[in-house]
Amino acid sequence: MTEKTLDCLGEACPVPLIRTQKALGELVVGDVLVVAIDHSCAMKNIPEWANKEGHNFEIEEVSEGQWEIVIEKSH
Amino acid sequence: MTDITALPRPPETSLLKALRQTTTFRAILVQPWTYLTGAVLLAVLAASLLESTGSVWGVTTALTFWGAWAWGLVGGDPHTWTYFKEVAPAFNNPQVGFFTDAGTLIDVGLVFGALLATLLASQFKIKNIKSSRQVAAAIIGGLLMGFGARLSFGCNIGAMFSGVPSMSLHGWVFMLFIFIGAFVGSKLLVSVFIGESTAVAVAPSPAAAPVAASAPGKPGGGIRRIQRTRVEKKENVTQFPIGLALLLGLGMIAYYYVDIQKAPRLAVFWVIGIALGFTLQRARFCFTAAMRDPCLTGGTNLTKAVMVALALATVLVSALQLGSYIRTGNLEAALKIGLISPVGVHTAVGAFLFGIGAVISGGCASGTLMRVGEGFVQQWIVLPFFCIGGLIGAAAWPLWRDLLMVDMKGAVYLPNILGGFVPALAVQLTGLFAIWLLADWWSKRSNA
Repeated sequence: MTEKTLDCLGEACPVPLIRTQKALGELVVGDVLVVAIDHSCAMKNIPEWANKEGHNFEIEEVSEGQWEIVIEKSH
Repeated sequence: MTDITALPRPPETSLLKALRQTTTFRAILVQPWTYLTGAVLLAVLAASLLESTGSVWGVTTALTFWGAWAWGLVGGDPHTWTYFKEVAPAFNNPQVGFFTDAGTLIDVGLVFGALLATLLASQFKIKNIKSSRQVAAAIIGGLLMGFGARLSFGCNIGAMFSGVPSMSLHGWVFMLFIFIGAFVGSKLLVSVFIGESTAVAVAPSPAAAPVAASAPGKPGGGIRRIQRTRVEKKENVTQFPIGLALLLGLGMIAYYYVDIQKAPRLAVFWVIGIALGFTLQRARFCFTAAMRDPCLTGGTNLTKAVMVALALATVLVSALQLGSYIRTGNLEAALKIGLISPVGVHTAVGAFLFGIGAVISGGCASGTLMRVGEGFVQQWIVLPFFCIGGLIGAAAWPLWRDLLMVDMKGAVYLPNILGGFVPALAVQLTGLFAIWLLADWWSKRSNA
């Protein structure tokens, strides 16, 4: 299992989601991607996308207005 | 598919902390609302504004005024411009200034409403930009939006969200061409403005050993946490009391307008502006994403929500018109409730430019204001250039008025061309439902 982090702090929608889609595409099943974001819309649309695609995910609020979306590539 | 914010948390000590941990508090003030909640509230707020003040919700005219006032401060004389004689005469009304302009009160209220929502959720952070590409995107996007919104006589709010429910053709033309502009903007964003950034592998170290963490409380119900490297996190500082203080301050300003200025109408603009900003932020309601995401990321949840908002707003505006007709018996006056603007090539060109600008800059006019309040440095750059774009659009009015053959009497009221009010209402609601179905199908198709 590989764990990778993707720094999307300071970036506006839809950039964090596009980067997440690309980065997850380069991983294999079982790998974990941790996306660091501070865009308040990305903390909704990245999990929505992961949910729609059927990947496991967690939203962790690491500090005020900053989140980590943890996505486990499930297929 | 687990959201850890829904997991049980350790008990807290003080009353305020305890309150902040309750499910109701979190559902209302911390967790994002659903897009549908946002859609319903926006339609209801816009209709309340129309009913109580007679004005539709608009964003960009005030931003043009801001640009023009600033131009006046540095020695220009925008009061002589033909734009402010022929298109926006309110600018030359001596009673209209920064603190008494309806649109300005809504826009400033929107910024503070979003700030309030962010503080009450303890999620305020100044979100700094990362690259010079973002600065370029913000400047170009802001100018395109400001200029485009002049051409089309409003943005996705003033032209689309207020025009479509009033059954004005210009709203529909705007909607079609903002979709096309957003498509082009998405291509530009991905090829020019996004830059490179790749995921970095986490180096395994003894300090940050991978653990199957079960730290906050005991996750019950067979929920499996994703295994990852975890670092001990500090407890968040609460911004809730600052939010309460801000709420008090905003309320005092409303009180000032009602009781000291004796201008309750201005207080309505202020309060509804705050409520709109609060709703946009809480629901993460983004018109730009609704136009952009179907082609870019395959998501259509917001597109569908915007269609619901437009349909509900259509019904509400029709109800207000019917109510007025029943009360006064004056059909002509009743049908004037709402916003019918000139439509033509300029509407299409303006919406197209606006769509490009909104996608590359990261938000439309209302989205920019909301994010200014949320602390996004990128939108702090967008806003002044939006005003400059509007100023250029206003200054160049005689040029594009003739070039694009703007007909100030060229407004088209759908019932006039579709054989009456009821057929037009039916066609409009069917059209919105058809786009909803298309978006729903598109999302399922791109998922497969």
